[in-house]
Amino acid sequence: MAEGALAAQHLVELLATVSGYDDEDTAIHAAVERAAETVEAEVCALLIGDTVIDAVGLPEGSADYAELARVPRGRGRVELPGLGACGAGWAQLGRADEGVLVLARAGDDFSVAEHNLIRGMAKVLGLTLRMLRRERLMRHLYDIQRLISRRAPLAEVLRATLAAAADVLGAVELFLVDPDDPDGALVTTGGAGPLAWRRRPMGDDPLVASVIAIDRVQERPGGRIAVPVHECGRTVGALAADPLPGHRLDRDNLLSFAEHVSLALTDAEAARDMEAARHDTLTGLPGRALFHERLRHCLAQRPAPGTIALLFVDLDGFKAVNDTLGHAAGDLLLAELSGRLQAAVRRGDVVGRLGGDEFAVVLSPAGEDLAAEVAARIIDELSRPVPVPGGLAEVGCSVGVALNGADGDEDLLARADMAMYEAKRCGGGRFVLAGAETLRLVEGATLVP
Amino acid sequence: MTDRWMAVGTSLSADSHEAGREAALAALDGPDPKLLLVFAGIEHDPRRLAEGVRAAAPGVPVLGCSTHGEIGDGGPRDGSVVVTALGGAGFSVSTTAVPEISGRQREAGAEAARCVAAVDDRPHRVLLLLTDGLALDQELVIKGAYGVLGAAVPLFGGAAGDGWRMSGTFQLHGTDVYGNGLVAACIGSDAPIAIGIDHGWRPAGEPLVVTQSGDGRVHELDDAPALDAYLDRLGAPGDVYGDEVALRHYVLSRPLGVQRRSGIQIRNMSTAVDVAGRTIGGGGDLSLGALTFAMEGDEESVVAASARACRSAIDQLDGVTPVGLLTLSCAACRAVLGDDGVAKEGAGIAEQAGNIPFAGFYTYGEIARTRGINGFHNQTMVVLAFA
Repeated sequence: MAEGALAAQHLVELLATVSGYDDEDTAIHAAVERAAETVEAEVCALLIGDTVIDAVGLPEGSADYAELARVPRGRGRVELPGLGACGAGWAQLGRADEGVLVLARAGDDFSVAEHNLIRGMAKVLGLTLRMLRRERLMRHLYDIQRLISRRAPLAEVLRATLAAAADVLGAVELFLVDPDDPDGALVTTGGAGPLAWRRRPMGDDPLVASVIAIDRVQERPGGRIAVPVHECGRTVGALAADPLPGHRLDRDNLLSFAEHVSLALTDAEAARDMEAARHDTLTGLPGRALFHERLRHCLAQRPAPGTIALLFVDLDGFKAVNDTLGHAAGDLLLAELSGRLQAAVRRGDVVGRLGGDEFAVVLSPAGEDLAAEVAARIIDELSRPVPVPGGLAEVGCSVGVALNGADGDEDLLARADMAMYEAKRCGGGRFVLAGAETLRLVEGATLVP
Repeated sequence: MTDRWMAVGTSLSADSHEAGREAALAALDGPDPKLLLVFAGIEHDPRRLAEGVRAAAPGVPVLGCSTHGEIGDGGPRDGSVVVTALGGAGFSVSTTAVPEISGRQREAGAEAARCVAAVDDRPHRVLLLLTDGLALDQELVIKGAYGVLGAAVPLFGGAAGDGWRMSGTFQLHGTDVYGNGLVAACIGSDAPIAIGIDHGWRPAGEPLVVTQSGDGRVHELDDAPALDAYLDRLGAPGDVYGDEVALRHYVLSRPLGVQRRSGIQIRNMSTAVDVAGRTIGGGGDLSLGALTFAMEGDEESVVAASARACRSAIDQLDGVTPVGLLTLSCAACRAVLGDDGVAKEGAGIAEQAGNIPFAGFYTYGEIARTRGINGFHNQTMVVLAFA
């Protein structure tokens, strides 16, 4: 068989072998073994600079692998412990920093044709590794995008982004302008667990300071690169990295990760805005739509019947305050009572303003006893006078209580609403507990069949 | 008088304990025994066998396995026990066993190879490996061992057989018995160790290129279903194409050849025929683009190759007469040779050995790595000579 055809066959075999793996380390090891098999070499190694990335042929962990860094470019000979004089072949994968493939064969020199084959194998390995790295980058970016689109907490998105950047580029640093000190930066490198931020004067890293000041990528020749990070179009920081020893830092990859940090920051800001729009501007409590959503979320966890309580709270006598003390006093009163409502429930319970002087509370988890206790507390707290311009505003409230059953959020709210009306019909200043199936009213603090 | 010796004992006793004891006693023909290698028919009870060997040689490291026929002086046999003893101050030995190797062949090979660290520093070493012949991807065992040892330590051994039952082999380490194991001995020697490798197969026609492969099987050769392309190249009779029994019998003497730089490596085709899927076996390293051949041979060529392998091992010692030979042949070759051919092969080995003691067995795969990083063979004779 013609030597050329055999060489082509070997290259196809190597490509098939290496491209069968999706992780770089395994692919490199398979390629190193396959290259050695192809030219019947005993030793094969992938080196970057003087660092042995992967090798076979010398004893495990042998310091003698360092000898391979002395193999001359092209074809030559090398003396290896345990093997004696060997023919040696050397070929670059691509750019100098991508590494070299080095082979050594006991006794025989490599022929010119074999050295051409070694060159071809090195190029095939380089090409495959570039593809694998590209794939790895794309996988990371896809994962980050999924976190962002799922509205994962910003800290989690940033942590994932920095971890991915570290995997592809080596250690990276994220600088964000300190909101409390425009001359300072908050800096993190990511890592396991929650993000650890530290404060640092911006001047400590002139490259980063310059990037943030002029909103342009800056790099030292062959060295550190910093790229700007934005939030809603404003430059708010920079992502910076240093090249790994013997490697060139990939500026495009760093830019990709910086874009994703910007995307996460901007999206988090947009999410904050959206969240704010769904809150009542006067009291800061969730508005009707957001309250319903949170109630639905609670019910979607499929809680056992009777373990979530909905309290419908309607102020008694609020119209009189508005009429006598004015709307400004009425607004102040609502804001104050909202605070008292929140103080009357546990952290994690949901308080919302449904509109006007109507509020609602979700207690989760809660049974009948706790619901009754909280309802009584709310009635007490809201009936205490509130100082407003022009005097003391004094209102009360009626509370309807419904415990979850098989019904949905609308029906649960309707039952609590009906119970509230029953409380109001009975004179107000009391709470009424709705039964699970039909409206079974119990009045005040005493349960009445 | 050399300070190394090798001797071989054989027992035809059907009592496993007695067979082990008798063969071991016959092999213990010198001072300071360092290692006993036990090759036994699958009919034997491995525990009783190991206890019998230990009874004869308490404290001497023991390594062994079941076979598809034992090779020794007097011709190949079935159901016998052949014990080889290595001894003398010129040898040093360390042994190890790795259980349950399937699914972690590479790691198992690496683990076994680490027993080399326990051997005295001698100028010549070899790692002897006996594996479960029913485990797949045996070449990964070699790669695992090579990854630890590198090129300076040659690898030699074989995959245990079970008399073609294909239901379970055994491996022995001391009195421990394994079914899916790997047992290994690193043998250090003051004198050279040589390995001969040869086979008696030749290409039948033009090469076939692997155009689709996966999961350790070749799916297509020259863009056609692999089995059909392979049989077409051989001009196989029609009944072979669809009849599993006929196919298995036909391919036994027509292995697959894989082109490598220094020649053609042989892969057994008979152990996993696939009439329905039209794929062929050949090992996990046959990837797209590999150049293969349908191979053929006969009694004469196989017997001649076995003798050449012996001669090659002996000749590599540059005139020094070996103290002993380990001779491993392939179970599939035995099927090709038939009883007469096997006797001729045994006679050929004995003729090459002359007065040199020799022993071995018919394997489910031969291990011999001397050059490059490959070392797993099929339907090939491998011979180790201790100077």
